[in-house]
Amino acid sequence: MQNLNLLTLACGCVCAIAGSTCAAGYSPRVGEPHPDFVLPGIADRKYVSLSQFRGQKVLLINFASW
Amino acid sequence: MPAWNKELQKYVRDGKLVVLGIAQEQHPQRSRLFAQWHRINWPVLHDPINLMQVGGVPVVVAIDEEGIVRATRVKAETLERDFINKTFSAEGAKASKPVKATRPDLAALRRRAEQTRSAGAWRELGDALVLWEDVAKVDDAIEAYRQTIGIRPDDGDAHFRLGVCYRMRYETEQREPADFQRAVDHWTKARAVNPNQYIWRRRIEQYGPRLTKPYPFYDWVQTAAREIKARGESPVALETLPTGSELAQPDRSFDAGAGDVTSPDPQGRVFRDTQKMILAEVTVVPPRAKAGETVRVHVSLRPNGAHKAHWNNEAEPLRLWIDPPEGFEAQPRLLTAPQGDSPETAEPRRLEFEVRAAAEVSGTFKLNAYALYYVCEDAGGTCMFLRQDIPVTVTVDK
Repeated sequence: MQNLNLLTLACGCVCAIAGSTCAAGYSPRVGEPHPDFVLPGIADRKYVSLSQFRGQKVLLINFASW
Repeated sequence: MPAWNKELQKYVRDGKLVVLGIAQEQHPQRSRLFAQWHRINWPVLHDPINLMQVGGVPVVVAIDEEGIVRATRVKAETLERDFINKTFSAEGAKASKPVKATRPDLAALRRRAEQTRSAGAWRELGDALVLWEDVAKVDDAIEAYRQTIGIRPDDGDAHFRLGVCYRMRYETEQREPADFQRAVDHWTKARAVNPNQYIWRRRIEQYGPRLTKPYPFYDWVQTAAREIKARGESPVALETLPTGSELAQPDRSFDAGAGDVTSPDPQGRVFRDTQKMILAEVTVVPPRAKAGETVRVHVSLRPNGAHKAHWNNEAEPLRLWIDPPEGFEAQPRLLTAPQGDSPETAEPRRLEFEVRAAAEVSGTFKLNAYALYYVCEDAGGTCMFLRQDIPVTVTVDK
C-alpha cells in the first residue's frame, strides 16, 4: 500500500462522464455541477448514481487499495 | 483514506454526510476485502475501466445538496467546518444532467455506434457492456473498444479499457492465448498517449519488474485476511489471488544471484511434450525494454483439457530453467512451482522471472527457457516426465 500524492487537477475542461468523449480526464471544478455517473456496487452489483443523493451532502472518494 | 475512515463513519452514522467510494480496481472482491478490513460502512462502487477518468488516487471531492462541487482539495480537519456545517447557495449554478441508474439499451447503443461510426459511440457501448454485463459480454466489449481505436488510435482511455477487458478474459475459461500480453500491450499504448496518467502507469507496474515497482501492490491481502480472522469474521474470498509480481516487494538492484545453479537437463535428453499435455503461455511486462533495463516474464503452464491432463504431485515438482542470451541476465535462473494439495491436480501454474537486457543492444532477443514436469493423461492414466521448450522473446530498444 502506498501513500500517494493527489493528482493535480490541472485540466480546465469539464468532462461530462456520462457520454463523454473528452480525453482530458476527471476535473471537477468548485462551483460547477459534478457530472453524474452510474456504477455498480462492489458487494451486490447494485447500481448507484450520484444524482440519487440529491438533497444530501456527498463526499466522493476515488481510491485504490494498492 | 483509512486514516479518515473513523471520522467519516461518525458523520455517516449521524446522517450528516453521504460518503461514496469509487474503487479503481479490476477485481471487485479485492475491493470488498479491503472495505471489510477497514470496516468501511459507506457504499463503494466498482470502476474497473476508470470510467471516472481519474488521473490518480486518492481524489476527494465535496458535493453539496444540489450536486455542486464545493471542494476538490478536501482536508479532514476542516471538512466539518467548511463543508458539513456550511450552507451553500445554489444560485446561478446549473444542474448537471442526471443519469438514470437503470440498464442502458445496449442494442440502441450498438445501433448508434454502427450508424454514426463515431469513436465515442463505440467507446460508450464498450463501457456499458463492461459495467452492465461484466465478463459475460467481454468479447463484445473488446470489439467495441477495438472499433474506437480503429477510428481514434490515440484514445488512451479506450486502450486502457481494452487492456482491462483482455485481462478480464484472461482470468476466465474463455481466455484466448496471448490475452494477458494483449492487455499489457494496450496499457503500454495508453501510457504512451499520456505518460502522466497514474492509473494506467500503475497497471503496468502491477505486473512489471521489481526495479520499477513503487511499492508492493497487494501485500496487504494476507494481512487483511489474518486480521479479519482474528476479529472472528471470515474474510471475503478472492476469486483471483494476487500473483508473484502483484505481491513482490520493490527491489532497487537487479541481483542475478550466485552462479552455482546448473541446467537440470543440459543435454536436452528429457522427452519433449510433443502432444502438448501442458499448454504454455508467455507474457513480457513491459512489452519492450530499453537497453540495460528489466522486464518481468510471466510463464503460465496449464494442463491441457483436451487430454484431461493433470499434474502428478507425488513426483518431483515442476521446474523452469532460463538461459539468457549473451550479456543478458535472468533472475532467478531456476524456478520451482509449488505442488498441488492432492496427488492429482490440474491448476494453472504461474512462474515469473526477470530479465535484464544487455547494455547498448537493440533488437529482438530469444531466451532459451524450458520446463520439466510430471504430467499424467486422464484420471489414473499414464504419467510421463516431459520437457517443453518455451520461447521467450525480449524486444530491446536503444
